[in-house]
Amino acid sequence: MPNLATLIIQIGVVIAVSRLVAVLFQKMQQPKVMGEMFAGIMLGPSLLGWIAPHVSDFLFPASSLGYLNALSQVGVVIYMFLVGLALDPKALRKHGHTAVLTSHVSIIAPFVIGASLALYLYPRLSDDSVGFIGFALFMGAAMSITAFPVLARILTDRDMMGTRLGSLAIACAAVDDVTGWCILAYIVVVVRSYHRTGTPLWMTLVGLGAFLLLMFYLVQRLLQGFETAFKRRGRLSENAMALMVVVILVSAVATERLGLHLLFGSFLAGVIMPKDRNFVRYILEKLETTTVVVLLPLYFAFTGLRTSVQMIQGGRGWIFCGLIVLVAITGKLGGSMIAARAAGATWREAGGLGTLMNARGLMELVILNVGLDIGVISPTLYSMMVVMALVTTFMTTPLLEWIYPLHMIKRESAATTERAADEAVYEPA
Amino acid sequence: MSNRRLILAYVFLVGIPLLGLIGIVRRGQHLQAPVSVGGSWNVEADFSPWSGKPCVDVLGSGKQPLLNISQSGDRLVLALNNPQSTVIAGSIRGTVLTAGTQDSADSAGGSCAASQAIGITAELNKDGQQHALTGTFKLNTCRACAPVSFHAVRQAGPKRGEQ
Repeated sequence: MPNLATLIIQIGVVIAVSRLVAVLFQKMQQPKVMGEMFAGIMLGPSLLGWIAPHVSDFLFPASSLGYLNALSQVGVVIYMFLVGLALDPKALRKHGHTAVLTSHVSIIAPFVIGASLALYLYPRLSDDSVGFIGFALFMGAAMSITAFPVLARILTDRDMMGTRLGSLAIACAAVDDVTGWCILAYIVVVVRSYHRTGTPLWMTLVGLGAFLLLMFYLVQRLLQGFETAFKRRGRLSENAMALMVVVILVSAVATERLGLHLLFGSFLAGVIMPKDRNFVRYILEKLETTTVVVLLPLYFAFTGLRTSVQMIQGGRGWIFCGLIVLVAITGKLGGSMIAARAAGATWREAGGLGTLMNARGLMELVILNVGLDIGVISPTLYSMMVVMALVTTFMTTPLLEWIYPLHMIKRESAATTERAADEAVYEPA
Repeated sequence: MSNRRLILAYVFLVGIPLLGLIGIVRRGQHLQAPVSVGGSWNVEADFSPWSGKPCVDVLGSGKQPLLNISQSGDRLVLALNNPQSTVIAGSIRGTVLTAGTQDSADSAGGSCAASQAIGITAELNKDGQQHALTGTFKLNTCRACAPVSFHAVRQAGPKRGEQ
């Protein structure tokens, strides 16, 4: 049985610390999620465990972490559903070739550069229980992910949703997210088949094909019933909400049982949900407060408990870490910028887009935790990649302010106020 | 954006990098990573030669699994499940694992109860899916305690990411 008192103390401490740090980060013009991520790291061995090991042992005894993990995973399952729900394929169509080309290059460029970094890191930071292909693909995927929710939050905070750059960035990030998760699903299959553990490969592939057909051709139609009920009554009944949560959980468990991961199923459930703007906003309001305020900070704390900056030992370790950060920025920021420029954007717009796409935030932590769970990265490499996620997310706002100052955004927003109202994007906080 | 320009952009910005990715994967398949030793190991050893000596407390009352190894490339961190929860750094070269302090502090008057002075040398033997370590424990600062041989078998289950 879990020690409930310990669990409740943990939840209280995590929520309090993450709120406090989030407020401090907001004062530094950083997105709130950045502060919550940092709070999670602070509660782990990198800070609390280092300066006050006894307090850390009391608050987070090893025997209690399983329950904390379970609770935080439920939060991320719901959160990934919200991310999938907020994705709108129409956003991409509005920008035509520019968005398609930019989003494809913003995935390919960091992916290839990340995979080439794997040539150097594989013999130094991995071992023979992981095949090179799985390792290289994972490094590529981890480098190419964009934090769609963080990006949307930054755009909203800076009143950039109505600008050409803002809507282009949202469209590209949406494509990046879907592509990134498809690639990650493939990597999980590759790695698990290499280990020859769990569900056989053929069963995963056949089952996944059947599951996708079922979700897109049957469940998606049935889900239209939610939108119809919402339009009729202006709200959903408690039974309907409960049914929706059951759909998310069943979808999550199905992908887990197929040999992928819980998160793919919940993300997919969000993607196939009806996309009426009012309906999406209603669901987000219903589900996101508890998820974002209570459960996600637990996920950040759990991530922080797995991250130890002390594992990055000596000059050699920090050189590897610096190299990872450099490659991540070059691939994502540089790749997106060049693609946007090639597609006809101005250098300033291209730079702004590259900066926004470079924010990795929570999505990176989710991918890294999946990588650590399936054993494709070591705890040391995981810690280095967490540092990369923090650096790339932290640098977004100041760099964007330098490239695309607020006064310039206001001028552009004023010219497109009407369009901005039409293109408002709903995003999980 | 004209179609011609779009096709050119795709060729240069998407097609060529994809070819590069194929090249990277081909080249990487020849790379050798260090042999995997990460995970929990059940240790079998006869610590009776240490009985009655101070060094028995360092390892003798340890619980199973006695050894947890965290690996990153050839660098290892070994955590012993002994009363002191000793953590020592090590490395793997080929199939030979070494960990602990060097013998420089070796002396007759050295400490026989310093858990941080534990030295481990072992060789990894692979037999299909079964991995085993065969080697010796010794206390580098204690001449009174002779090295003890051990045999360890890796526990099944995920070797990484486990809490």
